Amino acid sequence: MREEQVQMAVMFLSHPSVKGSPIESRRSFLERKGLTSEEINEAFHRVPDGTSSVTSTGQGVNLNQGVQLQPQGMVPLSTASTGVASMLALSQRSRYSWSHVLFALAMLGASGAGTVLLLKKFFLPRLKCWIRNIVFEVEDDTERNSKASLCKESTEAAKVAAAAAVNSARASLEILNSRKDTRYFEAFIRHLDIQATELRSMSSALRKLEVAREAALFSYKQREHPSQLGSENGPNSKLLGTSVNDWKDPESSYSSLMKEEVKQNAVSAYDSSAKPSMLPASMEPSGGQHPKSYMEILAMIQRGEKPPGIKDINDSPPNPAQPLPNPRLAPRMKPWEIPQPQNSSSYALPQDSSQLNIENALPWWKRNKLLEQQRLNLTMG
Amino acid sequence: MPIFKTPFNGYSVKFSPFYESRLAVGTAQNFGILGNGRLHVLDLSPTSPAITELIAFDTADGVYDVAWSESHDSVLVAAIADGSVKLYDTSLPPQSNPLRSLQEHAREVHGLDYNPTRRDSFLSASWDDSVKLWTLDRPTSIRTFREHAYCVYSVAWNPKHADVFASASGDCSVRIWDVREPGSTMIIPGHQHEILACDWNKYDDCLIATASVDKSIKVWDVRNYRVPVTVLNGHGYAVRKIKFSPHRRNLIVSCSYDMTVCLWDFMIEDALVGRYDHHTEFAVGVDMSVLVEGLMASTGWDEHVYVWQQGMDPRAA
Repeated sequence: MREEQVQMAVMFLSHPSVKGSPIESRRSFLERKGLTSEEINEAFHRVPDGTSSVTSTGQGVNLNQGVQLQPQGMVPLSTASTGVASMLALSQRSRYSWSHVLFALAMLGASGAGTVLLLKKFFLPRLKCWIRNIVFEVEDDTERNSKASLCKESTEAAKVAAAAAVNSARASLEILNSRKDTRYFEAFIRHLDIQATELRSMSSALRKLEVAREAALFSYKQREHPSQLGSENGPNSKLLGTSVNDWKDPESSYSSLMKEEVKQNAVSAYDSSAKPSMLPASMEPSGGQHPKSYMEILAMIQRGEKPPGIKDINDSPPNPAQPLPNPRLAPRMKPWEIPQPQNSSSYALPQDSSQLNIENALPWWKRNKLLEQQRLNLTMG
Repeated sequence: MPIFKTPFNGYSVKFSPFYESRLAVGTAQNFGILGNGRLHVLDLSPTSPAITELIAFDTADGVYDVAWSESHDSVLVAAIADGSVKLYDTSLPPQSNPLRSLQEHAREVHGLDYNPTRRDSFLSASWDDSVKLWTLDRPTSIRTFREHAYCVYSVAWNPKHADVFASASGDCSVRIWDVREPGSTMIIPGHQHEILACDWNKYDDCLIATASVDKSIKVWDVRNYRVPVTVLNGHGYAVRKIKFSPHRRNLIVSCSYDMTVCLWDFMIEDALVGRYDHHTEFAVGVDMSVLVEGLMASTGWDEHVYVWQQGMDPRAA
C-alpha cells in the first residue's frame, strides 16, 4: 500500500466538490488513477464522508479530467451527464451496473462530441489555410510570368506605334512641302495637332516604362560594369532626376516645340526658299546646327549617344588659394529694413511739375510710366 | 524692353544687390540634361535700351542657379549640375576663374540663397536630399541639413531672422530650420505634389509662399501652418519659381512651365494682377530687383532673358 497514493486519494476525497459526487464515480476515478482497492478503501476509511447524502448540486468537474482538452461545449454536456449520474445515484445506490453503463455511455458521447468540436475548431482551418497558400503560390507564379511578358509586349507595341506615328507625321509634312498650298495648311495643322496629342499620351506612357527600365538597367549595369559607373552616373541620374522629379508636365514643352517646328517648316514653305532638307528639324540626323527638341535629347541619351556640341571644359579653380577680392562697395540696406511708409518708392522722386526733365534723366530700366502716373495721381488727388 | 539671347537654355536670373544695372544669368546646354553650362553677367546700358554682356564663365556642367554675394560686390556663387558650388569673381578675367569649387554634394545642386541680413553665409539645396551651409572663406561646408526624403529644390533665408531659413522639397513638404538648432523646427506638409520653390514675405516675417507641381501657389502663416492663408491658382502647369517683391508687401511674382510670368497680390480677391507671356518655352527663372522698384527679369528654356519694368510689355521696344 503506497502511503503517497493514499494521501493523494485522501486529499482528493476531502475536496468539497468531490464530496458531492457519488461514491461510484469517486471509486472509479481512483481506480483509473492506478490505486489498488486496498488503498482506495484506506482512503475512504480515512476521510469521514457522508456518502449517503448525495446532493444534486454536485458539479463533478473531476469527471471531465478524462477528456484533456475542454472546449466550451463540453461543460454543459458534462454537467448534464453529472446531473444524470447524480439523479441515478439518488434513486438507487445498489444498481451499480445500470448506472455504470449509463455513465460509460455518457462519457463516450461527451468525448465523441469533444473530438468533433476539436476538429472543427482547430484542424480544419489550418488545413484550409495550407491548401489556400499552395493554390495562391501557383496562381502568383503564373501571374508574374504573364505580367512580365505583358510589360515587354506593351513597351514594344508602344514603340512600334510611336514609330508609325512619326513616320506618318513625316509623310504628311513632305506632302505639305511639295504642295505649298495654303488651303490644305489648316487641315494639315489640325491633323498634326491630333497626332501631337496622341504622341503626347504615348510618350508619357513610354517615358514611364523607360524610367522603370532605366532603373532596372542601371542596377544591372552597376552589377555587370562597375568601371563604367562614372560616365553613366551623370546622364542617368539627371535623366531619372528630370523625368521623375519636377518635369511632371513636359508634354507642354514637347507639344510647343512640335508646333514651333511645324511653324518653322510652314514658314519656309511659304517663303519657298527651297531649303534642301524637307524634314522637320528634329528628324534630321545628328550633326545639324538646328536646336534639338527636349524629347530628342532624351532619346539620344537613352540610346547612349552624346548630344553634339558638348565641349570638354576644365572649370576647376586655376588658383585655389586665390584670395577673395576686397569689397569695393558697402552693402546697402534692404527696402524692408528701411523704416518708411509702404506706398513710397525706394528712390526719391521729387513730386514737382517738371516731370519731363526727371523722366529723361532716368535710365530706361527705372522709367515706369504706369507707376509714375499712379504716383502723380496719389499726390494730385 | 530689350532682350538678351543666351547660347544655352536659361535656368536662373538674379539681380545684383550692389549694382542697379547688373544681373547674372545661369544657363545649361541641352535643357540641362547633359552638357556644358555658362554663367553670364549682364549689364543694362543706361542710354539705349540694350543688355550687354560684361563677362561670361564657362562650366563643364549646367548652371542650375546663381546667387550674388551680399558682402563682396564682385563675387557670385553658381550651383552646378555636377554637384559642385563654384565661386566667381567678376573683377578677374575668366581665365582666373572660378575662385573656388566646393564639391560636397552627391548630386546636382539645384538652389542657392545668400543670406541678405547677415550677409556672410549662403545655402545650397541639392537633389541628394540635403541642404548645406557655407561661407565664402571656408573650403568646406559649415553644416549639412539632412531630413528631407527627396530632392530639395529651393532654399530661402528669412529676411528678418538671420538664422531661419526654409527648404522646399520633392517630398511635398517645406521645412523651416534654424541654424542654431540641430534639426528642423517646423514641417509644413504644403502640397500633395512636389514643391519646387519657396520664398518669405519681406515685410511679414511669418508669411511664406510655396510653389508646387500642382500648379498652385500657397501662402502660409508659420504660426498656423495647417491651413494656407490663401491659394493662388491661375497657372496652367507646374510653378517653377516664386519671389516676394522687396518693395511691395503683398506682391508675388512667379514663373511657370506654362511659359508665363505672373504677378499676384495675395491680399485682394482677384489675386492675379499681371500676366506676361513673352516666353516661348518653359519660364524657369524670375527675379525682382531689390534696388530698383518694379524692375523684373525672367529667363527660360527659349534661351532669352527679358528685363522690364512692372506694368510694361517685356517685348515692347
